[in-house]
This record gives sequence, C-alpha cells and structure tokens, in this order.
Amino acid sequence: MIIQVIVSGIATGCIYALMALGLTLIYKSTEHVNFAQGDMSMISGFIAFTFFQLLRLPLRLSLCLALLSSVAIGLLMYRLLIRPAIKAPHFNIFIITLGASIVIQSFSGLVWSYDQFPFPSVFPNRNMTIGMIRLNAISVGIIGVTGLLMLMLFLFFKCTKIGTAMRAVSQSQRAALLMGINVKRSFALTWAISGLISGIAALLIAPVIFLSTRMGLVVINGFAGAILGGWGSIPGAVLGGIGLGILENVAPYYFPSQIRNIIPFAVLVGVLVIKPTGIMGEERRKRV
Amino acid sequence: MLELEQVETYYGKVQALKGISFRVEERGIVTLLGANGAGKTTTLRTISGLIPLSRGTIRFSGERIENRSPERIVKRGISHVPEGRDLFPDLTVDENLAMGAYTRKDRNEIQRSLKRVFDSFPALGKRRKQHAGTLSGGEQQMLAIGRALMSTPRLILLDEPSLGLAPLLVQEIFKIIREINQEGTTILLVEQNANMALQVAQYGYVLETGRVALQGDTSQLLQDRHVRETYLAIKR
Amino acid sequence: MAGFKKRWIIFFLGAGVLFFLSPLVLGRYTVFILNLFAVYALVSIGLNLVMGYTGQISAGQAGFLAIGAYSTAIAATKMGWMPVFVVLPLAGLFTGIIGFLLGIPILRLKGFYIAMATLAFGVVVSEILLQWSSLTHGDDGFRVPRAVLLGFVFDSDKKLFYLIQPITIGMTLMAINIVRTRVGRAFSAIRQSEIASQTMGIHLAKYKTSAFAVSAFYTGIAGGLFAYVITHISPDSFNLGVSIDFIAMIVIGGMGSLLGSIIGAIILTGLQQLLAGLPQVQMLIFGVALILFMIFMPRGISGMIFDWKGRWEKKGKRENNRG
Repeated sequence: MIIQVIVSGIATGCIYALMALGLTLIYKSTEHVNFAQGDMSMISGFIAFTFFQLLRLPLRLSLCLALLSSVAIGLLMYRLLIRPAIKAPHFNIFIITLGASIVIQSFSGLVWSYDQFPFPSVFPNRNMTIGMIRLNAISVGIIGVTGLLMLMLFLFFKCTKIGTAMRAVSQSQRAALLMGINVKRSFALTWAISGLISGIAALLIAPVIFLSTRMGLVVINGFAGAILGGWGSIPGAVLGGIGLGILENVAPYYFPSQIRNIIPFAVLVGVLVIKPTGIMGEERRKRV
Repeated sequence: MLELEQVETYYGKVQALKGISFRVEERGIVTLLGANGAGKTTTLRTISGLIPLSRGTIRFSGERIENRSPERIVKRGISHVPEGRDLFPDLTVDENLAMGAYTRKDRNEIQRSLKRVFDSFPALGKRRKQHAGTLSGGEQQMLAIGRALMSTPRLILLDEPSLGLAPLLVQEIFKIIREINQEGTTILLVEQNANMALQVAQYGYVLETGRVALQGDTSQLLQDRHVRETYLAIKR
Repeated sequence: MAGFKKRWIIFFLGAGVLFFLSPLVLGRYTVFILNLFAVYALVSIGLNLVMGYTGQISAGQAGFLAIGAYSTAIAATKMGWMPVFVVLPLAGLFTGIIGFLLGIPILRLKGFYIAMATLAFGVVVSEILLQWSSLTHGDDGFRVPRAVLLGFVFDSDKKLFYLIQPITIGMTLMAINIVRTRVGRAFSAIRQSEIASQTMGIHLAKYKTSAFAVSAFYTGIAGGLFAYVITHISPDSFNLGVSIDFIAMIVIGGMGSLLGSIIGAIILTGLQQLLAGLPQVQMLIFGVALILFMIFMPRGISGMIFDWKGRWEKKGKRENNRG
C-alpha cells in the first residue's frame, strides 16, 4: 500500500524533476532564472489540446506538433526576451521571465478560458499488477518516459560534440568563444531543449490533473525540487524533484491533508534556512 | 602576417588602447611587454575578437579581421590562450582538446593533431580522462596550449603562460613554445616575465598605458637601459 | 533661484488645497479610486524600499498586505472601541515585526533565493488565511468594520478620503526623509554593490533586514487602509498574481525613486479602472509592459524623466556658459 503511494509520488516527482531540469539547464548555461518555465509547459499542453480537440487531428500527430511548438516557444522566448537583454543583470532577466509568465497565462486565459479540460493520455488509464504491487499504467508511463528522456539527454550532453560544447559554454563562456563555439546559438539550443522538456512534462501530467491555465504554477514545485536537490546541479534537480513528489504524496498520510498544498513552500523555506545549497549543491564563490 | 594599425579600444568609458600599431612576421615570435594595466591583455583580446575596437585596423595575411566574431577569427587560423588558462574545469582533458578542434570537421586529421599534442605533452597523455580542474598548474598550462594547437592555428596568442608556475616549469613551457614555433606556428607572446620573453622572441614591443613606448629586436631591448631597469629589474 | 523655488511651493500649496477640497465636488466612485491609489502608493513605496533601494526581489508583498488587512479587520472587530489611530499602527507594527523576523534568515541568501523565499511566504500567508477559517472566515471573506476615531465613524468613501490621504502623505514624507539620510544612502550603496559596501563598513545584514522590516510596516499599514477601503476582504485578493502586479507597478513606475513609486501606483490604479471588466486583458497589458520596460527602460518612467531632466539641465548649463 505504501509502495503504491511512493510510486505515484515518484511519478509526480518526475514531472517536478522535468520542471527542475528545464530550469537548471537554463541556469547552468546562462545563470538566468526562467520563471515562465511552467507557463511554457502549460501553453504547449493547450496547443496539443487545440490540435486534438478543436482541429480534430489524430492524437499522436497532435502531440508531436505540440512538442515541436514547445521547442519553438523555447526559441521564441530566447530570441524575444533574453537576447535583447543579454547584458542586463540577472535581476532584470528574472523579472522579464516573470512578465512572460503573466503574459502567457493571461493570453491563454483569453484564448482558451480559465476552465479545466480533460486531456487524453498516451498511456491507458489502467491498473497493472507487478508482483505484489498494483500500479497505475499512467504513473509507470510517466516514470518510463522521464527516465528515457533523462538517458537521452545524458547521452546528448556527454557524447555529442554539440552537447559537450554546451557544457563547455556553461563552464566558461569566454573560453568557449575562443574555441570558435557560437555561444549565442548554444544559448538558443539550451532554451529549445528546455522548451521541449517542459512540453513533454505538460503532455505527461495534463491527463492526470486536467489541463488548465493555472498549470503553470507547477514551476514552483520545480523550483522547490531544484533547491531541495541543490540549485544549479542537474542530478540534484532530478533527485530533488522526485524527492519532493514523494514527500507530497506521503505526507497526507501522516498529517492533515491540507498540508499537501504547503509542502513545496515549506520545503523551499526549510531548505533555504537550514542548508541553502540543498542536498547536492556546491558553494560557488564569487570572483571580484 | 599580423598587422595592427592605430588600434583604439575602450572598456566602457576608459580608453585602454590609445593607438597601437605593430606587426608580427610570419614564423616569428614577437613579444609584448609592459606593466600590469599597460594594455597587453587587452590587445590580445581585441585581436581574437573578444572585445570590439573603436578605431584602427587589424590585418591578418592581408585580410581585415577587426570586429569579426571570435568564431570567424578562430576559423581564419588565430588561436588565443587566455591569461589564467581558462580551461573547462569540469570537462576531461580529452574533452577540452576536442573543444579546441571544434571548428574542424576532418576526423582523421583531428586524431592526428591529438596524437601530436600527446607527443609534445606526455603528462597529459597519462591523464586523458581526468577533469581539467584537477590538474596541476603546469599540466593546466600544457593543456591550454595543447587545446589551442588543436585548431591547427597559423598564429597563437599566448597570454602570460608563465603565470603562477615554478621556474622549472616555466623553462619547460618556453622550450615547448620554441618547438611550436620551429614547427611553423607564429607566436605573439604577452609576458610579465620579461627575461624569458626576450630570450625566446626575436622582436619585442613595450607597451605603456595603452601605447607602444619602445620596440626593437630583442637583442637590442635586452641592452636598453629603460627596459633593464623597469622590466628586468637590473640596476645600472 | 529663490523666486523659482517660491513658485513651486505656492504651486504645491495650491494643488494641495485643491486636492483636499476635491471630495466635495467629485463623485463617490472617483474618491474611491483616489483612496485605492493612495493604498497602492504606500505599497509601492514599501516595495521600492526593498527592491529599488537594496536590489532584492520580494515576490510576496501581497502577503504583508494581507497580514496588515486581516490584523486590522480582526482587531477592529474584536476590539471595536479602539480608535483607528491605534488599530492601524498596531497592524503596521505587527506586519513590520513579521517582516523583520522573516528577513533575518532570508536576507543572508543570494538574490534568487530571496525571491523564491518571499514568493513562498506570500503563498503560505494566503493559504493560512484560507485554512484558518475560525479566525479569518476563510473563503467567505471578512467584513471589515468601519474605522472610528473619537466617536467619528468613517462610513463613506469621502470620509475615508480624509483619513487615508493625510496618512499616505505623511508616510510618503517620512519615506523621503529616510531615503535622504545616511540610511537611505546605505541602501543605495548596497544595491549597487554588496561587496563594495561591505568593504566600506556598511553592515549588510542589519540594513537589509531593516529595509525589509520598514517595507513590511508600510505595506502593513497599506493593508489596513486597503481593508477599510474595500470593506470586504478575502484571501483571493492577496494571491501571487497580486504580488507580481506590485512588482510590475514599481518596475514600470521606476525602481529606486519615490516619484517612480507614485507613477507606478497611478498606472496600476488607472489600468485597473480602465479595464475593470477584463482582468485578463489587464494582466496581459501589464505583463507586456513589464517585459518591454525591463528590456528597454529598466529604470522605468521615472528613470526616463530623470534622464530628460539631466539632459535639460546640461543644456541649460552649456547655454549659461556660453552667455
């Protein structure tokens, strides 16, 4: 019984991990914080919805188009919002992404209204039995897809020339420039990948929590997860996200159920007060 | 091969280079000397495209390269080893070298360059999978130079290669610099250690507050009184 | 030069008199808007103290507003005999203390963490207000009793005007003072470079925390006034969106200057009224404005005004020198 709770906690945690991953990728390469990560996710979900429900395209096609759109959204955000302000202090960029979050949310509200919509899942909504445990196929699907995505990203960054170049850019922009690496294109690619990740997250979670323009708030869970795991660390983002998911699912069994809403914030504040660098974080010293 | 004419560069409102002109002949080693803040590093950064210049021209084999992107300049055959090495600390030695060859596409040739680097720097060959940040100072400098060589440059800009290295290692590095030059690569060397620089280079320019104050064959500069007193710390 | 200054004083006195006589001629709704504007101006000033002057992001200002509003409402209900001049400062003080206590652990962290922590704070406050229904009536909202002072009840917008505006003006003058003094200059230095200010002996933590506490105080008072103005408060009026609205307000108006705070408050109030029936369009416009300003005019409208003023003055000097 507890295992079921933990497994569905891991599934939720995977979504948070994807959010946290998108945030961390952008932060690692440019030290920018993208508050609009969740809203990018949300609008991809609505785009899929539009293709599928309103334009009556087949499900698989709609999902693929939505993922392409999520990449485009990432690139668009970079081109329109980040590049013009690339020399600005990080404070400014954070506020710009805050503004983007508001714009995307209100725009979506105007176009699709603030109602909730059911969203079809690629995975059948069925229960399966593995050994002694009864699991929901959707949860398994979410965990599987997330795992696969992580593996692909790992291989991309470790083994391809472009992936290694992106890692290089995040370690030293100046040296990367001197290698002949096109740093601006590397940033754009980072945002594109981040957009794709958030799109995948939307398509995975929308069937479970229903599509709504408030879905973007999941970015806060993403932040909490990333901070818990250690802000700025990729394995930390994944661990923290999954850990947060498990916490959220397990806590209502031992505490009053309203606590579920406050957990990400309690975790946030708790980690920041006790050990700001999180589980896997490292102190970065500033050079003067 | 490389020609700067009346180059002026600003850091914000402060003028760092106030009209610098000099030349580097093909296959030679030229050194830029000067105190901290004289503009040596700024000069290199302007050449490699990291900083834009506001006036003047830079010609490389006749082609104007001022204010081009660093990417283009690397592709033209200029490689810059920045001061402090600026390696990719969390990438391995192999990966750092691979990044050096980023602009090249010929797999076999890249492998050959890699082998040549390990021949020149056997210590690196033993540490291929190590993260660059964990190498010693001397190994890091070797890696930085090796990385620059990976793009088969015609001209290498070296910024303070002796910085932070023990004297024995400094000798080692300068020996390698000579070897690289003998194999055909032109070198523009910026150095605080004027002694070593003047011994390995053929021609030198002395920068003071953004201008060329003195220039000449290094044999002459070694005899010049001002140079001896200010940069070689030799009294009378 | 002396004659020049005298003209400005007369102008302001005249404007002041007109301002204070205006409720006699204006409609009730307009007065209501002026009251709302005053509230936003106070919030703006408070937020500017933290964001504009010390350069930290506070994404939970609505939380302080809520604390001020609810503590005023609850205190006035439970102890209706207390004159407003006691209730309000107490609410403000209470909020300020919470701000101070929150500031201590948070402000020693890096900027981004402060943004997240304040955001968490704002949402937690909202959530607590929702859940603690025995105290706050939760979702249903709280009816705010009228402000009383020595037997006089402020039971209309016009009467409220004469309570709110003097308080706002007073606190604005207080803020001008704070900014001009050593404390204010320390704040400015901190914003520009934390590291440099430390080497100059400015005790970072102390100043940041006191900026935070004062900001909370201002916002708490604003919250109390807010409660009186809209007479019925519920947790939904203090959500994350509201906190972000406040940030947008000072960015557009201009961070780090009191003029900017006022301008931002004017814009927020104006936009809300112009598009009263279309909250989404409001937010859309606000969001776009926030982005555009942050990219092209990060110093906001007041920044633009100061630039013009600077250029105008330089031109004047040049002409003087020529003559």
